[in-house]
Amino acid sequence: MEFDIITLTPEELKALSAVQMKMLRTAQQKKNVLRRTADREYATFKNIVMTNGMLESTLLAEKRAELDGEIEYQSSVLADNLIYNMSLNEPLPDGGDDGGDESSGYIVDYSLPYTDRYIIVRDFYFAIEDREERMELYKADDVARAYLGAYYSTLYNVLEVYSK
Amino acid sequence: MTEKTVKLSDLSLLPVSCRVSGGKVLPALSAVYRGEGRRGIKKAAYSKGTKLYLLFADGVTYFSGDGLGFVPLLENQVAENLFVLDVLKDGKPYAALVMGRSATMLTAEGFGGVELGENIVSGVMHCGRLFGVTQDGLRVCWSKCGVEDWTQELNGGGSIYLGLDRGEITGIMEFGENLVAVRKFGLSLLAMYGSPENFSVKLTDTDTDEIIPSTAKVVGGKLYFCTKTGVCVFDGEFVTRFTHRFESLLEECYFAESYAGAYYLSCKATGFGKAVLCIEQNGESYLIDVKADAMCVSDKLYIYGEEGVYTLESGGEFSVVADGIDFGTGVNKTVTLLYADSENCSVEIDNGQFARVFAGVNGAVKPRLRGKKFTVKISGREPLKSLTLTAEVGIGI
Repeated sequence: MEFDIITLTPEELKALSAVQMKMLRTAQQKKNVLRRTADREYATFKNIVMTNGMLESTLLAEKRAELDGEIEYQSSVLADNLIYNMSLNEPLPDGGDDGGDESSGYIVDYSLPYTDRYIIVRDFYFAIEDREERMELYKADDVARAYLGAYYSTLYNVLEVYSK
Repeated sequence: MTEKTVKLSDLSLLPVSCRVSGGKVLPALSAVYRGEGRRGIKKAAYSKGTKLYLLFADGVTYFSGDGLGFVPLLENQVAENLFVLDVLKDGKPYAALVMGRSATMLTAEGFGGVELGENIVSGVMHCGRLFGVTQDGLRVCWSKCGVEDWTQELNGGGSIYLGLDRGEITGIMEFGENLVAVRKFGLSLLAMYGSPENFSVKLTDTDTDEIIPSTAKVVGGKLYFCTKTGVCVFDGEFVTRFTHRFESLLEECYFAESYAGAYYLSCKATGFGKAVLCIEQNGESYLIDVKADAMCVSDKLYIYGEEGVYTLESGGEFSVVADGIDFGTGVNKTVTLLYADSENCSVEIDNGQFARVFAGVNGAVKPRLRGKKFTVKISGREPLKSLTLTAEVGIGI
């Protein structure tokens, strides 16, 4: 998959964690869908314009400009959310704090009771506005699987309900 | 010797300020003098919103409140590319004098200038937008809203190139709910209401021979216009030739106006000179003896020329000419009786060499005029209910 939702060097791409890569792929897919939908809408509009004998008018150029403007806006929102979510999942540099896996984006403290752990992870995922992305990330979150134990499936069901 | 009689219905009539209807000659409209004329008049217009008359002469724009007395307003105006629109701005009516990329917004209280987004030479307000013809005569452009807002976007301003197959665009006007672009060699019908996404150019069989600019006018839901070969009518689907009494006499056509359900064409006709031809929707036509340099319509049809300002009124004097009366034979004959059923009219009968004139005719006169062909001219103000001529036709020469 080619990534143009945000600019990344090959080295930066290699350094992404599994969760970050998942976030990147999801955002890129959404941008690709936007572009594809816009192309289809443009093709339909072009057919209508041709049928109406308006091919030599300024309508096609203006429609393209409108669609491109919308793609740019939606892409910038996706990119903005992606950058923020990825920053919450930054891998730690060598020699970072012990105790807890902070690459998950939330506090991982095995000394906490399960209910507290549940609340921490739940609050983290509900902060992700995009419902689809929220579910995808949670499914890919192996840290949460180990951290929550039996509570993992409970939280999964809750997130699923709120994703509908 | 045999006696032959011809009636009004047998004759080829050329009516001036009257119409031939049901075998009778009835008075129609004639030009009534209202005031002094002016030289060099190119155009006239009336703004319904501001109730102002505008006249364009010798590079100067004049305005008037009554259509008669004009005062100068603007100078250095090129009348050929100037046109007038009625627009509303902030709820107030203005007369917009559009010339190229700029417009002067005029009211009775004053005027100001605005800039347009395109350089246009002819235009019309339609569904809240200004639709105009660009200077190259190849594109129709439209504003986003009104005269001033030309923002180029999908539901805003834009343009369409109409192609060269019917020649350049010489004018644009409303035609029912559509617009019609008058081209050099035909018409293009444009559906341009709602948002630009729904605009369309309709496919029509409307190629014609060369159309004379400024002669296209909508009358009674049909578009009348002149080509080099005659008057045509477009009903929304087809273009048909319109035949009328003066067809063979028309030498030149200049411009036209639509008034009270009839088409008024400023023209030059053989034997009459410069005049205005009135064509009614029922097919009747008559000339009005007035030289028009410009016309505009308010409550009346105003005619402006060098000789004066005129309006069309009823009750004036009319005349009807019947030419080439030979009683169906090429030999010499003597017209012995002319019966004109009218309360009061003048009769002139001419054999090509000299004429006899009878005034105050109310019934029969005895011309006793000999010749091969005769021309009869009846003048008056009262209807002519019938006309008969009787001649004694000899055998041989």
